[in-house]
Amino acid sequence: MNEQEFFQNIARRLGREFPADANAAAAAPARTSVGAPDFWQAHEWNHQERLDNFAAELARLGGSAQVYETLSALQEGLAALLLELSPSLVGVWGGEFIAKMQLQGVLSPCKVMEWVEQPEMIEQFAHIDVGVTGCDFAIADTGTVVLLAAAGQGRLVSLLPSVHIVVMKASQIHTRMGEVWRDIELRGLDPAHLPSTAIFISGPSRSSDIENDLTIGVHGPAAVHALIWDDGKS
Amino acid sequence: MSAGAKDRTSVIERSHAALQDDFLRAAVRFTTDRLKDRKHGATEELGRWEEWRERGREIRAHTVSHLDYYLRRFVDNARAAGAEIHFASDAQEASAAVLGVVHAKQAQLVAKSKSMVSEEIHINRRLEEQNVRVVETDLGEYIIQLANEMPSHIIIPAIHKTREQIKDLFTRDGGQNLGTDTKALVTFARRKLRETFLTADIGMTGCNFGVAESGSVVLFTNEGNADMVSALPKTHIVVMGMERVLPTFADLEVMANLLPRSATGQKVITYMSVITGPRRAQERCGPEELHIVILDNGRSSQLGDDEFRDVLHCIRCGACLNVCPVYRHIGGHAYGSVYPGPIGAVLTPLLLQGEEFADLPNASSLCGACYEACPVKIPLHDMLVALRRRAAGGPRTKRAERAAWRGYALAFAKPGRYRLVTRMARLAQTPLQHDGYIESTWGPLMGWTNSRHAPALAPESFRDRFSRMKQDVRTIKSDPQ
Amino acid sequence: MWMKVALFATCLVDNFYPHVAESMVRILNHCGVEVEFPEAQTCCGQPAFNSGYQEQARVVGRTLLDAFGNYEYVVSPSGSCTGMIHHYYPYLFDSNPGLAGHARELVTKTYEFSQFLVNILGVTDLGAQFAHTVTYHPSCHGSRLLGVKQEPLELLARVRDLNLVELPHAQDCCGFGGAFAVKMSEISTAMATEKADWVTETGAEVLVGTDMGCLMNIGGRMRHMGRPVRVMHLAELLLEGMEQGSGVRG
Repeated sequence: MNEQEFFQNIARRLGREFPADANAAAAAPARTSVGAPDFWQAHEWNHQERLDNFAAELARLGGSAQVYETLSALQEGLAALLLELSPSLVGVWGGEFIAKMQLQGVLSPCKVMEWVEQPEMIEQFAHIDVGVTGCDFAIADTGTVVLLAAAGQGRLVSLLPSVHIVVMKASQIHTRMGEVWRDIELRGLDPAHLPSTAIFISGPSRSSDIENDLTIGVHGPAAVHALIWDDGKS
Repeated sequence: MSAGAKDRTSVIERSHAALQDDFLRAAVRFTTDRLKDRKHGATEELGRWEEWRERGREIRAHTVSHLDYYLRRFVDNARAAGAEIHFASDAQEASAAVLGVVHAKQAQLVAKSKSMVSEEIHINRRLEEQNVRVVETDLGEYIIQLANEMPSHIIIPAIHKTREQIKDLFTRDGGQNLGTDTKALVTFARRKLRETFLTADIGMTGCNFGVAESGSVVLFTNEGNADMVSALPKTHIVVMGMERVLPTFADLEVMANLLPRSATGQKVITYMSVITGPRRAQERCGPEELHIVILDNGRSSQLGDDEFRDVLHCIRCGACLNVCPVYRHIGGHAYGSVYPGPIGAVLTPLLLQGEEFADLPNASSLCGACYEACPVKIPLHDMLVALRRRAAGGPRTKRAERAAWRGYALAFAKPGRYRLVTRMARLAQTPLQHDGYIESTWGPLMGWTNSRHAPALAPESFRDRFSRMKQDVRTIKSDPQ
Repeated sequence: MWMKVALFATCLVDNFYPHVAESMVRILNHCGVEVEFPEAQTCCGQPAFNSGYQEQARVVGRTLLDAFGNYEYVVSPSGSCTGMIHHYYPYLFDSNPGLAGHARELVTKTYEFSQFLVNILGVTDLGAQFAHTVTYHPSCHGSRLLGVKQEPLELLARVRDLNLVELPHAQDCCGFGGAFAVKMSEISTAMATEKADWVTETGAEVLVGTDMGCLMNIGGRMRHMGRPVRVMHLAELLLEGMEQGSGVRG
């Protein structure tokens, strides 16, 4: 069916002669309320509460969160974790992330591969053990990390390995999902400038499809570790 | 839409088979009870559930009543982000749109993530007819596909399968020395489906929600398969029902709270992917092309029908199935279409005209549990009554039924006649009754008497007794405080 | 306190369970309420309405509009029939300008028995004593359509020596559903059997409820299965308890 008929049919069913013109500002339907209930939109935790809740929620989902006072402590923590996991290959997402978090030294004992470009990387990352990424935001309410498909960030590094390690800063944690949208909106909602994907990850991959028995690590990672540098009150 | 009903059986016959299957009933009961309990816990924990639920209803009602506006915004924005949009008035046009992309890409293998709307258009069958391999990657759907069946639950497609059966299916699919423990079965599926993700030419998904203000497609999964399917192959095809739209991201926050809690009692879905167009030039992963097929398939007729417009509010969470006592006893396949349970009993007869679906609205005791559970407050029990009203007196109803209700109206519309008729019945029952119960197991009420004792009419009705009752009304002094 | 109310007996209680209505009259008398029974009433029309025969439901339901026009309160032993009035009468009579107002008025003054006692009369303790193990089945229409959830439990909680055991999965429908029980007999029976099994598991001597439709279904199924249980409407139980106990308090 052609587009015009499709919309014409919808309009007719709604009792209108013509479909609403989405470009005309006047056509925007009036709304009494948008989004979550008011009490929830007003809900906001302080820095410490956000940090504590994020860690508790992620743990509840079967992931883990470790908070470090300094960046160097975090680096030591990551080194210890990698030693424990002793992966044959560590995948990292690209961009300035490694440099910004000064992870070169920590990663140097491992064989490291950086995600450069799909589709070349897919085969190489298909059976990788550990993926290390940053994140763009996190949500305290649900223990969620948010990864955007921004320039240089190969977000599939979070999905393909068996273990996903997120290196992040406490200041990235928001109280609830709505605040993340607000931040993304501040960058402009122009579709051409939005990242092609924003993925919200809450704990390891799971399924209960076999006799309602919960298992983790179905398609995505079986373990999610968040290493958080507490970069101060914000 | 009617794979289970191709033999033209009625819901009575189909449920008869299900009621003989003890495993099915036990499995469905076990799982739905668990989901129901978890949902209860998750909504209690959230707090102020009714406020969330009301907000959910408002958002859906507002969007649906301005669907021309919001769908237009969605389409324009998705195009601006680089997506290609296709419009389909029915299942056939939707399949044609998908096949068009598949042929253009010379695709051999399509990886799919769970999608009710793709079941609705039977796309797997269409693709296989064209010698294109389709692999379902949601664990439950994968099991169902290997068994060559339809899903029997919106959220847990393989709710009716035992781990023994699953082991056998996986063994046939190449699994060696598989045990029946969940870990071993899942490990096999992970390995097997990983190949599919990596080699598929096209990834195909449904669409949980479309965001009008940005043209984004939003996908919810626990396994992570939708993200793999949408990101790894070079081409991503989305099939979405035209009513899936939400105005803003702020509204998505409400749905992200309602949907997982209602579906499985989870506080949060494990993976929520918000997809706005294909990969941008500077980005490092994602598909090169994004196609969105927007499907009507009967939705516009519901849109124009005041009694059933609200059914378009549905967010496909399955909560109504989990609380439905009928679903629990007969399982999903007895409904004979891709949408089982109370939502299916309403949707299916609206979408499909077949004889085999005519009785679906009658397969409910109208207990209202579905409405109570629905996160967007769809009055399913009222809709079932409305469907019965539309069928009443029509060609598919029995003559005896029509006569019975005419007789009822005649006898009960006037108190004098009512009294006469009930007195006559009292006399007529004399030879049939014993010890206050009717013992006959034949006649029009045998559906009752076959399994239940029926009370006899009392020797004297209340209205006859009342005139002789002496009332001794106690005078109570009201407390002056 | 002196009050007059109209009793809406329902066709089921009128013909099959007159003692339920009689118990209600006795209890209401005890609370200082005089009861009238307007003979114009027959049935709320729900059996036809739920089967899709709305015209038939309308002509029958009209008897209630005729019967109860002049009363301040209408009280009924059924959550389901009261729910029918509350939930569907405004819609059912909407198209008739002469009756629409009456229908809406009837909604505002019609109460299910326990609802009337607790919320209008403010009575929860009838001074009853009932030394038995009892389990309570909430009817779907009473609890969901009408919203009567706590009232029956508050009344039972004040009965001395009564051992109330919780019915597992109490909110699940018993499979009655009017014509559904006959039309979809096999499904209905499966639901009734499950309910019967839970009742048996409680070990209760008495099953109590506020809707004789459900009780007829569960009781009839249990009798057929060879494990009869004593089935009582809440009003019957309270009256029997009052005769044992000391009468109204508080």
